[in-house]
Amino acid sequence: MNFDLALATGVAGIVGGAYYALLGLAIALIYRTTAVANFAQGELGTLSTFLVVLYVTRLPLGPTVQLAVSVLIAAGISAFVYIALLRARRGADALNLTVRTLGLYTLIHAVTLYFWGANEPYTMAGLFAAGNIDIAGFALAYDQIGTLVIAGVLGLALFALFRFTRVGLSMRSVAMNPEVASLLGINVDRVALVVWMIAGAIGALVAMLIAPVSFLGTGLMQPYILKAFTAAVLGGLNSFPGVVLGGLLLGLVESFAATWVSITLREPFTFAILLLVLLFKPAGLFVRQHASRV
Amino acid sequence: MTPLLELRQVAVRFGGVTALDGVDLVIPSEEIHGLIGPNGAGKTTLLNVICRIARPQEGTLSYAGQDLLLFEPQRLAGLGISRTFQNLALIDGASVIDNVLIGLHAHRPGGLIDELACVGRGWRRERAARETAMAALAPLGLLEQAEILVGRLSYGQRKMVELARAWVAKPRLLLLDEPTAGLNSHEIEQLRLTLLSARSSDRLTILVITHHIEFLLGMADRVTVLDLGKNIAIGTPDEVRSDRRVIDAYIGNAP
Amino acid sequence: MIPRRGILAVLAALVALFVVDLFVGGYPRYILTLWLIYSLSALGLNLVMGFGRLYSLGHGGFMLVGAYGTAVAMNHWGFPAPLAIAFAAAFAAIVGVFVGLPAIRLRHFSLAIVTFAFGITLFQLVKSFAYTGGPLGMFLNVTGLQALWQGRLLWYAAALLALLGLAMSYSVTSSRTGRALRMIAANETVARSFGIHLTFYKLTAFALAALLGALAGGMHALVTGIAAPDTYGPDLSILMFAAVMIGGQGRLFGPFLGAAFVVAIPELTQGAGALAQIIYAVLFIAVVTLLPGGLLGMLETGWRRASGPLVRTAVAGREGTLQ
Repeated sequence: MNFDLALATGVAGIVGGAYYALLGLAIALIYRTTAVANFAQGELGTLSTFLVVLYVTRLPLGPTVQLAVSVLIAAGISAFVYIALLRARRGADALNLTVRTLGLYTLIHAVTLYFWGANEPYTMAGLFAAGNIDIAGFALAYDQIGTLVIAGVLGLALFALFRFTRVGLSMRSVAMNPEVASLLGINVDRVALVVWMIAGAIGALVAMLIAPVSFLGTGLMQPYILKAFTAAVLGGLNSFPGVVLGGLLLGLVESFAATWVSITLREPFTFAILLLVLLFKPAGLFVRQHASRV
Repeated sequence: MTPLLELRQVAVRFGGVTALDGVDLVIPSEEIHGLIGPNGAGKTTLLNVICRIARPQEGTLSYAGQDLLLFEPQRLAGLGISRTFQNLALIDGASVIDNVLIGLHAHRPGGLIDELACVGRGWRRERAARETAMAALAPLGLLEQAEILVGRLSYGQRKMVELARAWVAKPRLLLLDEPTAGLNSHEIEQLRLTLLSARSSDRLTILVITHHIEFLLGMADRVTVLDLGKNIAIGTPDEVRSDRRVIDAYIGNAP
Repeated sequence: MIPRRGILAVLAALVALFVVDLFVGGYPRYILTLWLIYSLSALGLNLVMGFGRLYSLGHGGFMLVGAYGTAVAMNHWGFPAPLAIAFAAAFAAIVGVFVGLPAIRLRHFSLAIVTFAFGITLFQLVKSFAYTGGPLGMFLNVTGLQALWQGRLLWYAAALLALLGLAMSYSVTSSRTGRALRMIAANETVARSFGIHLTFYKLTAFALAALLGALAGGMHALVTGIAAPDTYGPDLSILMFAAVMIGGQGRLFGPFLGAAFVVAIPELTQGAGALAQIIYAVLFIAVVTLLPGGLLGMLETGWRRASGPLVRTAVAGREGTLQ
């Protein structure tokens, strides 16, 4: 494989990995604070993207505003989902809540199919100009750069949020131990609500980045759910930097597998890598194992 | 006569914390031995060492003359070592008798085919096991509750179920972790009598970890006292109860 | 020792099915056959998830092995149908052991992801190779089989297999194996202290789940006449997971109710066209949220209320031995 191909594959891998990393973060966030595995993570993004593409683009607003609107819609829907769906019947355990998100996944998919399935796929204008720039003889697409920049900014913003703000501290406490956090006076419910909204926003952002590149269809985010979960698991669900690294690693492995091995065997290959990693580090790439309590 | 259980100079350290620092524990057969000490003394860690859940960095551990450090946790049941747990690890969604039957797991050779087919030998073994389990429940007054879900019983009853599970297989060494926690005085008295009677009728050796010195009076033959991971006293319950060092440890000695 | 209530319920159901069979036409019978097939599969998944608390999102993969194993054995090797299914089921049991290996060290979420990846991988693999018919799948030459006994052969076979699955399920759960599984689910360290060999039981659970799932998958291929990748993809895994949870996980008859839900609702809402899936999803969310004990839990509560105070005192504190 010549250097140019390797570099192109690598860049594509990192871009894909950035999506997985962000979605994985959203999943890990929700899992850590509410112990729920959010199956509907991708679909919420698809929904808000549809709403934006079909209704908001009619208005004379620039793509940045569209992006912001999409994010707000998703945050709003997520808040609604949390309040209406997940808070109902408070005695329910995490598994029950997870199954509810499974139902939500089915519901949103059915809804998007019902309203917009007939005319799919839709095209959507990208956020970035088409074309490449030339760096030392190597072509990087504008939207690749744009994606990486946005992902990077978002990643840093989240990092700053967690490290330097009160809200972030509350989130980390709840993520570590909800019971103790509530004893310390943190309103766990409110934190969970905020976390869901953030996760929804991340999902919408990623969907808006992906949709122009592939086509906008009801199945837009479906391939990403498993990869997002995988990134979250590789990061051990605990260590947020681990999730980011896991996502990037996943993207790279997948990209090279598609180029070097075969595009059809891309998934099995990735699965094999996942299994290998978990074999040696069941708790994720960075985390030390805890023994169970007796 | 070799003691049934013998720990010498056992040390356990993890992450900068010294849980046990050269602890000795010697228990002859058919003795009821108490292990007491304030919180953080290392009692549960010592128990975990015996059960091979915690690995000691130093020291020897022998049981019936064998080096117990060579055995993995799941082998202990077969050696006749059985225990109860502080957090009552019972299957809440299963009946009392099903929980007790867990205690017999290691003592019934099982054929998976027998169990799946649910006929013949498997059937007979299951019936025999159930009878044994019922016999274990009888002295604890739980026969009537045999088919009831454990989750529905009172805390005291659940502790008794755990005890039944621990001794149903007629172990040689029974390890009890805080058996009186959460029990009322009547239940505690019942427990004391039950343990004394079980020791003589089944020739059990019992190690009782507890905070509750009074419980050991009139029941334990000897008591080992730990504080901050070290032995500080050993003797009969009466001796230990009035030992200056023990009192200091519990109250906290501020010079 | 099998509780009388349980046997009576099963006998009543069998009689009902037999009677119904005499009066209904081919299509309702087809739906009932599908229900039995999904019940069989759900029984398998229930062993692993309901009793062992090992969450598997790859059950569709086992059904795929059953369907494709049967198809390959019949089409490429000339096996007769019963032998083909038996082979597929045995092979699936071995696959199940391998799928169960991650369960030794992984819990909950990670295990779910790995099993999900397993399902997707198998799905991609059979789509990619001509030997397994590629994206279109493999047709099975079963028209003769389907017409046998006025179209009733497969229906009886499905009922028999479901019954066997139920018997195996009961037998496992009320035996030492079932108890060991449940203890492992409750607390692994404690389970080990009683001499329970964690790896053996986890792998056994997966092997049994795979066996039942493959039998169901093989029957499904025979009944529909085709083994196509999309039928046995990740969506099926999610469907079976949903069926077990909705029926009431860890309950003996839960799988039957759950399977009924995932078969009946789409059938009943067929007239509503594209709205059908929305109705299904809404009902699903409603049941899961409002009935955490699953459909079986709802039936039990209803039974208790309907029985009145007299019966309630008699059975106070005593859980029905159906579980």
